[in-house]
Amino acid sequence: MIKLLKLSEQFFLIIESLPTGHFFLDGPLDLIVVIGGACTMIAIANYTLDTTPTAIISSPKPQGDDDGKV
Amino acid sequence: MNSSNKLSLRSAILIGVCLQNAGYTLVRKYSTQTENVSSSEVLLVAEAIKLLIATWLTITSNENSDAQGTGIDKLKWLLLNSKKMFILAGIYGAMNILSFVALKHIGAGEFTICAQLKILTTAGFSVLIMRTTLSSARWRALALLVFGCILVASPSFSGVQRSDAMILQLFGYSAVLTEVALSGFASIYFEKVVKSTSEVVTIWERNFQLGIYSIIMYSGIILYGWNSSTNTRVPWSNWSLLTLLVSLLGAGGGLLVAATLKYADSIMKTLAAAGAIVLSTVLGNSHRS
Repeated sequence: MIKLLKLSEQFFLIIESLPTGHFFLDGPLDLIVVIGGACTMIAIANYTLDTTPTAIISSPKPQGDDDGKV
Repeated sequence: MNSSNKLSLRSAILIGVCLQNAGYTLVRKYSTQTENVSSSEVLLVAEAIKLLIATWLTITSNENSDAQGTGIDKLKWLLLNSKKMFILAGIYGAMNILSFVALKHIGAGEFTICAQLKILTTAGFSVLIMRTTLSSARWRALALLVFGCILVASPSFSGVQRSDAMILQLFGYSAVLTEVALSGFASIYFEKVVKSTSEVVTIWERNFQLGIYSIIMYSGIILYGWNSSTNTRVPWSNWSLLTLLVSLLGAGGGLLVAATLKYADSIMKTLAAAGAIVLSTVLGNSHRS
């Protein structure tokens, strides 16, 4: 928990030191937008970089019984 | 077309969708703040521009298509064989009505939150109808995307609480959730139609078919508004070059949607749209600062 707090503190210091940092840290609502934007970008990256093949599966054709039963 | 060209084309289209959506959002926001123009008129002009471009491309295109005839005969054939686009236009009309009904009974913030669920409904219908498979990583990414979009859209949430009865609020939520489900279904339906191999029709021909029905729908909405007893606006008043730009961007978006569904898929379209939300928010904040 302490590590997380220290990490958050470092994150805020970095953002504040940037020339455009104050654009995003004027208030809690802007910070929420920054977090939302980061989540969105991470999600887009995760989706597009996922290498699991997305196969289009065709339905298996029903096989009729040889003895004519339905 | 080889795979690297396909990837380049797909990437270009998705970047185009992202930039178009962001530009459209910002320009429309500026226009609504500085001008008093009917949004239905803007949408009608956008559909008219889209129809003109689609008609010209349909007549001049040499792409392989099942559409018969040339010139006006081809357009007549397309109109007579446009059942699939008629269904899609009906779905879009129902979505508009449901949005209107929902916003009467629930707040804009709640509506926006529910609207982000269309990302998941699109993925769900893609699995059900297109029989695609999505890995658990992609499902998690989509869930994170919904969360991120809600946070990005949060500044637009007003603190005004609706005081409607619980039953009316439930009705509003039902309307928006139905609209969200229809949105996902419409995307996948359109994708299935443009990627169909049994009936090969180019995306410009599909845009022509859809444009005809969209124009009829918006014309009906405008005429209803003009005949309304509460209407005091002069029709087609306050138009400017900025308003025309909004319509042009809207038309461009409509044309890009079909291209996205043809060369990418519905889920990639939602990703591009989500990227546009972030981009327009960042650019909007930068302008304000």
